[in-house]
Amino acid sequence: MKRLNLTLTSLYKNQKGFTLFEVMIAITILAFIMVSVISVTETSQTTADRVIGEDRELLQIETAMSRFEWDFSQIYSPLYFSHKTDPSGFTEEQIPAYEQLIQHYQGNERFSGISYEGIPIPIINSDEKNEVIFLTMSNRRKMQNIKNSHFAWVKYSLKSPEENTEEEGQNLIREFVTKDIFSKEEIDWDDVKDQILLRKVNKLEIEFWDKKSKKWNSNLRAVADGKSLLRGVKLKITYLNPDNNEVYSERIFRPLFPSFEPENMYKFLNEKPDPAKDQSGDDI
Amino acid sequence: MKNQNGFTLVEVMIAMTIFAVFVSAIIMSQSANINNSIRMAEDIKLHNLAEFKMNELFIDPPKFTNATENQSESKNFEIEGFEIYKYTIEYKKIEFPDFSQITGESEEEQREQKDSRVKKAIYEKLKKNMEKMLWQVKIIILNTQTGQEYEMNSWITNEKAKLDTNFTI
Repeated sequence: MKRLNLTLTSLYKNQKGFTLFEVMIAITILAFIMVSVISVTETSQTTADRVIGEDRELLQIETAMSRFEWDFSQIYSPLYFSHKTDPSGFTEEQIPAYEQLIQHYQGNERFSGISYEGIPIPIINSDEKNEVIFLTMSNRRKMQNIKNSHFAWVKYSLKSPEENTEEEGQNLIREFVTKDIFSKEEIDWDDVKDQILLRKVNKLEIEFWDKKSKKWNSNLRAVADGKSLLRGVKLKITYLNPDNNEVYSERIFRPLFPSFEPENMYKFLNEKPDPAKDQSGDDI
Repeated sequence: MKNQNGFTLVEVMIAMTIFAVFVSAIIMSQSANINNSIRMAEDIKLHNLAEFKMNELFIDPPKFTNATENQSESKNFEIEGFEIYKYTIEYKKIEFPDFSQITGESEEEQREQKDSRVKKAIYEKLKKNMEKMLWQVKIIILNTQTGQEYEMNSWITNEKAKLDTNFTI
């Protein structure tokens, strides 16, 4: 008990406390620290916002490009795995059946004929430098058990923004049609709802790979077999970013179908191997 | 002002250290934000360039010869605005394991089996053909200003491979 009394008395001995002056100095120092901490957190918040904004702007072109990649990589044509029908080898009995089959898929805007297996060959269209229309397998149904095929006609093009908005440049838009894929009728693209992929686009140029001349060509009609079979597409796009700086981007896309030529395969199967020829040469 | 004790040096130093740790943590976190964002933007750019080059190779593959293996092509991009990026393309043949490595049997065990010789001959032919058909390709994109690199690997099929189709054994 004696010991406890001792400590208690020693605790309460100092009755001085702080002076007003000391307290004021302490508060001032604390205030300075608080102000600096708050300013630091605030600047970090604004940089975080700026960074997110810049990232979003960057991601917008990435989303637009990946949308095109998704559609184009799944472009559909039977010519990637088969070849065109050659009616010259048919017998007289086969010709009427062939004509009946091809009737639906000839002389229209969507199909250019049928393949060896009787699959219609869709036409790839690019009437202007900044648009392309093709048949893709990239369509996915949104609800379970809904009747919907993977096929869709898709169009990428530039469109001027509506008149009452004061936006610069044009919009890169994507339109797609999932109904009546195999119909004869020409698609009325003006009726199709469009989806804006990228705003303020100054220039869009679509080039197609010509396998024969080994060059990129913006005129699809000049590309050998370009109407029905594409091996690669190059997009050259110039757009304005939010700071109104012009940004140029160039990308190449290709179909996922392996690049081999079925015509050659049929030839290869009919040829007899020449063992002497196979062994020679540096080429492998 | 009667009390003239003040703080000791050690006390002041401890207080300052604690304060410095807090402030530096906050500053570091915000600079990391910016760095991450710049790095991400740069990474996407490098990835896109690598993909650009890879697609170009897929669409227009080079002529593969025995000499292709040791060649490496290195050049700056000619696309407007991307001149500071440099690409390096390297090719390599694919090596398939031997027949014994696949079956896991020793040569003596193989000799005991009747059809082993036929199987081995067929596999050797396939292996030879596959090694002619497939090429490994590596693309490295380098930002010559920051030194940041991006690597992309894939396989390219050699369309003009002359395959051995003679399967008589």
